[in-house]
Amino acid sequence: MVSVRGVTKVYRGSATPALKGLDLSVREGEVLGLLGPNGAGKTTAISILTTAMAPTEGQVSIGGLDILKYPIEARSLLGVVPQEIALYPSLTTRENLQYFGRLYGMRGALLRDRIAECLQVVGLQQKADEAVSTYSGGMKRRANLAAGILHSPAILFLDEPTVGIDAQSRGLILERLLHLRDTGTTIIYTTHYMEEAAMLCSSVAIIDEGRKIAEGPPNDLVRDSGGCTNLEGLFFSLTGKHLRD
Amino acid sequence: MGLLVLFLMPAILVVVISLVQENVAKTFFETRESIILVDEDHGDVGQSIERDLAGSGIVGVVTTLDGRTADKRSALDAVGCGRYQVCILIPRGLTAALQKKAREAVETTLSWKRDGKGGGVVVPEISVYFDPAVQGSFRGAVLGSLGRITLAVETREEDRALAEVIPQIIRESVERSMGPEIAGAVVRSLPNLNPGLGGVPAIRVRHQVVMSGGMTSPPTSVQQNVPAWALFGMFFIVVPLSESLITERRNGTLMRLLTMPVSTLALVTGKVTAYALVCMAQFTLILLIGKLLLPMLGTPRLDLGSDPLAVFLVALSASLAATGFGLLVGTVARSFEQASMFGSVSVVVAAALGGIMVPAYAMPATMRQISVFSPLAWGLNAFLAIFVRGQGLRGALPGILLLLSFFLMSMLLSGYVLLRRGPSGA
Repeated sequence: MVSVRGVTKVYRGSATPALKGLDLSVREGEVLGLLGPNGAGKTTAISILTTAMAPTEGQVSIGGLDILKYPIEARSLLGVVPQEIALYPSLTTRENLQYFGRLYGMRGALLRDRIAECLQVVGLQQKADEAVSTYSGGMKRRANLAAGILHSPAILFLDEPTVGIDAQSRGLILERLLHLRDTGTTIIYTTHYMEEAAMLCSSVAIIDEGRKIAEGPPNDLVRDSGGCTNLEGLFFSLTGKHLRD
Repeated sequence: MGLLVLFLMPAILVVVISLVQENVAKTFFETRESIILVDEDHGDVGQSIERDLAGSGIVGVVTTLDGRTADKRSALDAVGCGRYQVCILIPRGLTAALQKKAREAVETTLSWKRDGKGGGVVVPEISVYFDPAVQGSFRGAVLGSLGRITLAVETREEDRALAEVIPQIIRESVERSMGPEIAGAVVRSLPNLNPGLGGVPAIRVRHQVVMSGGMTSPPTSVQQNVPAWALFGMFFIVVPLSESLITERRNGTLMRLLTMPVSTLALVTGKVTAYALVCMAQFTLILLIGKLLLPMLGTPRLDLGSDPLAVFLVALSASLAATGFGLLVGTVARSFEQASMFGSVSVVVAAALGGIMVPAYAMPATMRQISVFSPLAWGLNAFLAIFVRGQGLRGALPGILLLLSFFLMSMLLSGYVLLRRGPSGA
């Protein structure tokens, strides 16, 4: 479903590449967790895979489409939940969803029904007509997820979707992601929460300093690590415990 | 709130500036009773100055304050507190001194009584007192008028002196050579010299405004101010537009938009269309103010001319130019502070250079040369071609083309910067 071959990204003015020859392969219905410390290149990878940014080198195909040649066609397959609350704060969630839905080509009853469905999925039916700026952190994250799944994408990209929110909102988001996984949505997901990744992901790729340093199903990686008891232990053994600022 | 400010600010600007400019015009040409004349002389000079100043059309003259004849003290109090703008003080003995001086000048000129002591007459000075708030141009106009009037008075006195002296010179000369009887007969046979001859100028100056195209009357200050300040307001779209772009970049909305199945061109076109429509709505509001509100406040009515298509095209191209500039500022600036500071200051500078605040023809030569690079100057010149010169689309076309070129250039630069920096703008 997603194929990444030798992707390198060097930012203007930077001496070191943010990504160095990244290779990834994600099958349909799979959930891939992109794990890595701060500055590892996770967000850069998501930006490239979602066509928001062009790589310096390498190839990416989504659903068999080369995203560098056919970005607009590839975009109709993917949904994005950015790390930031990528919504217009002065608009209500319903207005945000109407706006983004129209950009996805949805109109009329189809859009109306899908908005109602997404609001129900994220538990915001009662607050849908309030401005996003008035929401709590958890509500904003749920609204952000609703905008990402509005058009029922085949592949969903999530960049740290549960960071800094209350336990209830986090639980609801993870529950919905599990449901999406079970209904066949391919998910590529970055997080700092290892227990989340272990629970949700069929496969994880650990990247550090722009390079992939491990890839595989979480249980297999832990089992083969020779001494680590869980994914977090494996993560620290591969990336170290020193701070990354 | 942002939208309210966007519409309210130019509306207030156009009303205030139009009224102010209208008042400036009235101060120069229409206002009555702005000068107090204190005549301590009570002679011909004071009367001439009062009559000629009042008749000049530049100012109105009063000689009484609160029902009493103005004296120096009360007049200076009235000017000092700004109730009147100018006080002209005609000193005691001015007429008599001027008459003596004129006679002395004529006698000296004709080399008569050369043995007499010439240059002994001192003419007291006329004093002019200005309200400190009165600007230089108004002072210049008053002093210029006063100078012309006093010169005419002097000339009249010299004429009068000539009329008296010449017969005396002839009489004395003939009397010395031919005796008093013949001298009397000769003087009686001389034509009467008319001392009032110099009072009526032979050369008159008539001023009028060149009217071209479909103009039926000279342009008013409203015709100049309304489009000028409308442009100023329209270009302020730069601030909210650039800030919205930075917000989109910072909160990830831009990234979401760039991952949607629409082309970047479609996204940009949507944004430009929305903001250009806001500019057009601003412009329409300002035109309505010029057409409906300003006349209610005493100014002339805005005349839209006979070429509404040209007006629409200039407004549209100015809207696009302002929107393009806003996109450029929003793409280049890395923070709200940068965008709001650079955006607003650049618009004010472009407006100042473009002749919105002070007409370009009144600027120093260097500034006039820089002025031609201001997009607001292009828009203003295009509007003036329609509203003031009556030239229609033909006169506005250069400005329209320049504004559209500026829009395209801004869009290309924005696209280049966005591509180089990526959706986060880093």
